Amino acid sequence: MRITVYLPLVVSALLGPAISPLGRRLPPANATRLLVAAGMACAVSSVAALALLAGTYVGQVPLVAALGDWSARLVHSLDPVPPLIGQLALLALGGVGVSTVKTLVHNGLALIRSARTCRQTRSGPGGLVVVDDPHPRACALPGGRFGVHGRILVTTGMLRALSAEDRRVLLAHERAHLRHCHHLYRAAAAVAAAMNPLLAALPRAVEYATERWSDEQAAEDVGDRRVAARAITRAALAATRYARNAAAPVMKFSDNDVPARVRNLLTAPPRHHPLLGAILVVTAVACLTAVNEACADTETIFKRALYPPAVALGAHSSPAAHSLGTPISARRRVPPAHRG
Amino acid sequence: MTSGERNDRRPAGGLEDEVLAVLWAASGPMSPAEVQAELGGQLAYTTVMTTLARLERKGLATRERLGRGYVYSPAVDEAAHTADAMRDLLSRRSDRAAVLAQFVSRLSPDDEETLQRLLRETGD
Repeated sequence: MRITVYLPLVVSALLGPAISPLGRRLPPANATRLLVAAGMACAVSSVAALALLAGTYVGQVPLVAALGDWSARLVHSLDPVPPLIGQLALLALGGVGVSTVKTLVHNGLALIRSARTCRQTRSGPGGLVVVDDPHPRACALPGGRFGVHGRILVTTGMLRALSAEDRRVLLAHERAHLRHCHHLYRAAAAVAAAMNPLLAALPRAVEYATERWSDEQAAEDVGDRRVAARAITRAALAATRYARNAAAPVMKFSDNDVPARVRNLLTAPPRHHPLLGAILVVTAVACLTAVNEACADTETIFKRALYPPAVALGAHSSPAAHSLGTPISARRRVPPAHRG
Repeated sequence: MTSGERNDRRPAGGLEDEVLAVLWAASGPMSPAEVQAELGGQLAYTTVMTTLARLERKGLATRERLGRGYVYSPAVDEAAHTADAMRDLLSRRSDRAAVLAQFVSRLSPDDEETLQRLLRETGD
């Protein structure tokens, strides 16, 4: 408890700046999976750590202790965490809770609306929906079970800016987003970052990794990485040209770093880096193990501070008994069958 | 079309979507031969014709007689309807969520220059 409870936070602080470089060095499919898994593990264990720190502090409040039938004083004397840290943890937990709920609602609603739009639009057999709009845009809309039966929205402006070969790359790219459920990885990354602000770099890193994943899949489907690179370049140039000429400011969703994606396709295919992948796995395991230890330690503190059942029953008539810490040994003598 | 080896693996519905995209990108109605030429390469004429007929049957394309054969156009009503739905979806602030993936984002002037150079280098 003294050290382990802080470990998830320390590990997250170390992982934070490494997220983006790791994501760019690992092969995109691996990068996506490992980043989301490690990020989620860090986020969950950090929230659990905060909850433990805050919970042990709250357990020392006399009213709470009375409800839980343990000795506030004993918890206080057993708790290795300074009260100030407990208070800060409580505050952080509140803030993180609000932003997590917000992110969940935000992304959940987006997925629901996306699925509804999918149901309302008729598509080609592969999911293509053409939108009559001069603004060159393309987007994958998840829909159906797990989002895999989504739609590929492409504007006429985009179709006209590309050659038949380019369009094939575009369709393969968007199809890969849907088939590999990239929206779920992205949502998980956004939630993890909301749970732990130290992982703020995670959503962008995962967005980039999923774009690269789809790029590589498209290159494989058309059988030529240069063709894929050219298609992405033409699409981005067309979109930018339109945005510059359009009177209205064109919104920008995410900076998906087109030049880096193109450069990646023009160089050799991504190589595996077992060592970098191992870093992420170790990170995740370390966080979860540490928080599990801290959990057990906290449980021990409260168990030791618990009033033996006999005293607890009597305490209802004389509340003064609560203020007296009862030795643990007293509780040990009561056989389990007689408890409660 | 520089590299010799070309993979022709297409998922279910992939060809239909590509043909539909060709119709939409064109400025006027197209004959099956024109679609075949546009798609460039190894697709058989009959394959293209069957695909066009299938799209017409599904109401995604319309055809009219021209001389001895048919020419095909995309079904416009459907697209006008979906345009509203898409604009609505993509312009909602709350929907600029991470879950919706856009193919490309707008480029900065520097990136634009870099990409134009890359395009010239890869162009043949």
